Amino acid sequence: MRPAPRTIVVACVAAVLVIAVGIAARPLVPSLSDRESGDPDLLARVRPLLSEGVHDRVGVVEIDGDRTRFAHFGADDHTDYEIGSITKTMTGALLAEAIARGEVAEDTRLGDLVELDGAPAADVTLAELSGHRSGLPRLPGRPSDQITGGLASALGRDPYRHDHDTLVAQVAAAELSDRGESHYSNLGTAVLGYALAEAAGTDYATLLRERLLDPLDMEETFLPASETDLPPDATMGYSERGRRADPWLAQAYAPAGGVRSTPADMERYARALLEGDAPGAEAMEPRWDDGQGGRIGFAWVVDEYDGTEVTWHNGGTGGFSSMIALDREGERAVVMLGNTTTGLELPALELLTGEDS
Amino acid sequence: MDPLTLLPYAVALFLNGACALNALGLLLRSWRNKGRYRLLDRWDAAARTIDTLFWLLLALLLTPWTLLPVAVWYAVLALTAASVASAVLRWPSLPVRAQDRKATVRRVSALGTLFVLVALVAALLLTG
Repeated sequence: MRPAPRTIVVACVAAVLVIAVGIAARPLVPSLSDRESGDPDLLARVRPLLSEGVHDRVGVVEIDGDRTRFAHFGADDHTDYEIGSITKTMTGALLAEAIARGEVAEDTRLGDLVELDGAPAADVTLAELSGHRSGLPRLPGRPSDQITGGLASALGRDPYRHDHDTLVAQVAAAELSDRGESHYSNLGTAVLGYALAEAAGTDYATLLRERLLDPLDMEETFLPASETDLPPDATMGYSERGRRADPWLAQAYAPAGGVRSTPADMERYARALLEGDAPGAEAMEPRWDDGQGGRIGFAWVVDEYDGTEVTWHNGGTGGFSSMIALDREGERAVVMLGNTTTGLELPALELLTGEDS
Repeated sequence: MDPLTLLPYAVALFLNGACALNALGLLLRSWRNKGRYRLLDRWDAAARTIDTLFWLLLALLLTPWTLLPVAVWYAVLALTAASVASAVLRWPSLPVRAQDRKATVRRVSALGTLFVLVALVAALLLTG
């Protein structure tokens, strides 16, 4: 039986609707931008290192003594990137600076600064939090946090949109395991930043601005607490599925990974660290074994690669990757920032320690 | 090679394969009047259409598109659109509800999947 004309029209409309919605919601898989700028030699060395994985915009900073080279793919010195867990090195610097000022000590108990009502975490020290030896879990262990966090990550949302009350409740509810051994903890670094701000009588963003960013003239580095804090042309990140990822905002978990910065500012940071001028630079000093053959300071990891001692930290958010690696003895540093989740650790280490470095 | 590195490819193939098979099944059933593989009633057509759209959404959200050509998305999208159109064309000639034993199961299945689909879309819209 031949369908009625009206049925045919409805069928066509249904098909067009499915196709229209499907095209509007299509996956947008990025590829490494061919819009290159910066030092030609560095560009030539970086290009093959980015042949694997998914890349879109990438910014590279290479410091060698007094000389700095930049290389950019689809970006420039002032393109903003989420630096993710490199933020932890800044929180480590704030701890070192607070110790130098006499506000806290390495063995100050978390419970002395944050109201934890005798929870197990109240007994851990600030140094343990910064060195990932507190025994706190990597992420909040409450089932509701795990479900909402996992769902947010799977959908490309920011899994860390918690206020400080929630953070404190998560820490208070956490069980400690293997305290004194190295277990990476975003939860621990987040509450460390909160505790340092409490000790200084301010909030984390202000503390970071006053004690680290302003002294280093890092004017392009910021902590967006909400979408309205992002510039209209803020760089968009891409998830491992090639989908646009929501920006990670700097709320209670800001000390663990909430900073946005640019290659120009990260050059200032890396150079100040190399020269020992950065506030809290002693955070880089290795203090404990990291359990994987390396050493760890206040967040900084110290490992040996190809005979070179490298002080480093990487970062990753829902749509960005980053790496900072310092050869302090050789007065060299490499910073790599990208707006996809493909890791930049190996390219950065290759640039710093490889044959062509 | 670490077998775990193949996992994302397996996920991608499974999701898009399931999506394509659902759409193809709906398309074929829409054109058959007899036999086992046909649409039994309007609830059956609705359940299978919603299933197909649900799998399309899952494929979009969970496929690691960095590993798979985006052309695959357009292929499953075209297949889904064709199958939805076919179901709509078939709709007037189907009984509202067949009298077999599984009629209730089909109705519950259609409503259940529709609920999940709407909840998922609502969650996406509300959080994004």
